[in-house]
Amino acid sequence: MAVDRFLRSSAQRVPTKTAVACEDFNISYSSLDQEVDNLAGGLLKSGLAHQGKVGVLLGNTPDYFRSYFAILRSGGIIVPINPLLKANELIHIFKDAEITHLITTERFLPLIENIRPQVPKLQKVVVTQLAGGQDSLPEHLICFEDLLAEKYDPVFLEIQEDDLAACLYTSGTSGKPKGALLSHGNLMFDALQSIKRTTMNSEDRHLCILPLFHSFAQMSCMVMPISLGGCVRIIPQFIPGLVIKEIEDHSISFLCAVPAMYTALLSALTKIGTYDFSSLRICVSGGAPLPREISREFKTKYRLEILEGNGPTETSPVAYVNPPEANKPGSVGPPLDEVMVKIVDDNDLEVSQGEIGEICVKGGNVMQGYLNLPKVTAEVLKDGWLHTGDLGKVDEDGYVYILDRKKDMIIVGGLNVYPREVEECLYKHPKVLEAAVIGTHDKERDEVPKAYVVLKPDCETDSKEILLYCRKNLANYKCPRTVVILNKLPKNSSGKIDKKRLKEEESFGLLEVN
Amino acid sequence: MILERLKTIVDEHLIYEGDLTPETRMVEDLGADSFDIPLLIDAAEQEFNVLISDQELLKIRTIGDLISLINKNEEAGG
Repeated sequence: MAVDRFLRSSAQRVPTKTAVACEDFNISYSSLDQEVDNLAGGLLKSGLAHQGKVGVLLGNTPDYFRSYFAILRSGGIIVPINPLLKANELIHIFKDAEITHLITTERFLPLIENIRPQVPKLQKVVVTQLAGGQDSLPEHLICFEDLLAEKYDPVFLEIQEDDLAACLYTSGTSGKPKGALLSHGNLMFDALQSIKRTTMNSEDRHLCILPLFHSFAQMSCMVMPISLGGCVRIIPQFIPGLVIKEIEDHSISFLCAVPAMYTALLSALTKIGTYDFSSLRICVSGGAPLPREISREFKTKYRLEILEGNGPTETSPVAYVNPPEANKPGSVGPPLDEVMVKIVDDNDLEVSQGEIGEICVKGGNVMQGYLNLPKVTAEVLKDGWLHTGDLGKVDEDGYVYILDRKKDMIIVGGLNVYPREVEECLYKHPKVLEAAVIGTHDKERDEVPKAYVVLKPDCETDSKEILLYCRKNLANYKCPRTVVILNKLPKNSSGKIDKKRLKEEESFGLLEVN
Repeated sequence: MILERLKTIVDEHLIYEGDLTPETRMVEDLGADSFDIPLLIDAAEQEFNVLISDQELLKIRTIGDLISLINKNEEAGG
């Protein structure tokens, strides 16, 4: 059994029902299933090996759905790539994952052609919306639409539940992003348990506003609804007014978003004044802590209860969600059925109920490990227990509360940023002697990185130059919004930069600015 | 003239390299994300007294796209 069978079985149950829609376009389950066969057949014909890695560098379009299920149907492993990444970030992923095939759009082709000499394992680039079609294309380029149009018989390969389905890159505390390996079994388990918990059903109409390269979007807006035969509308870009209009016009009943999106929706609703949310049955928030005042405002003003859930990418990614019938705001809910949670102290010993420690998760949704990183895998996966790096507690009813992070991490509008990665970029700047990055509050994005740097002796520069340097080397969301140049950074007794003190001094305005 | 007034708005919100031109791309050159773009558009709507629809907003890739929309909406009377 493989994840793509979810689509196959929905195509048999509800062949004429709309599976995916975007603006004026829509496609039925049977047509989507046929196109996925065509694309899977085309990928195999182009040399995709069993468990070969296929990068997907696309925005929010129906092509994401086609690509996702076709890669899995052809026995490949999908490697979703964040379209915001810069060339050197892409090269790391392409090399680490040994990506042989890439599905992308013409917009990204110049970038890909630029890095191709540095990633020799990349054999084929399948391009959507290629101007001029297939005529006289270089050997490594394939026209996506041509693959869709070439009809194949249903593709049935022997795919086992423990075969890998996805390699999801997450930013790493060590600086470089690492690939979390999820099996078909992991994804199917997480989808089925999350459906059960959230009461998602085949009649639900979904609005995909999360970026599809994100594991939360892939699970909640793609795998789960498609397995049930639901209808998913996609919007290419998050625009609060458009989201409100789509909910009204298309009777959306199920919405998943990150807290920053709910905050932006609240602000847009205040401006618009009139709205009709009567179709909206379930709202789920994940990816970052949902501020209590946001959930309270949705409930009091709009009579909408937001169910908070969470889980790291390494748990496929849902580990806990509040049930609609017993929501506890402030908690991320109980673990999914057949998923266990324990809280441990610094010695990896389980603490008593109600005590705070690191949250560990065990169950069918826990990843197989990190690609090429056995040592790091062994550090986070002990006896099947994933050490999430989140600090929290479990209450007497089994509800999980995430209270802090053990690892140094900033969540920018739902996307994880590890300060270490930003600091490494800053240290590469020829004039930077020392750097420290912390998270600061941001109205729109919840948190944003802020950098403090000390310059090398006799060097002069301004914060704009340092910021633009980051912009060239890091995805925009990882770049500091502010760069402060200091004479010195606070240090602890062993001479290490003391971030705790830095944050305190920052909040009291005590830092000595250059 | 529109470009100069837009430059004042962009300079308040974002940091970028070189000059602001109609070819300047929102995401790649200005580093704008999906939270910055609506803020910029709000400010531009107020500055030029026009209304840009959400559908139009989806199609903005460059400063030139925004100038065209402002021109179009100004001609249509906001």
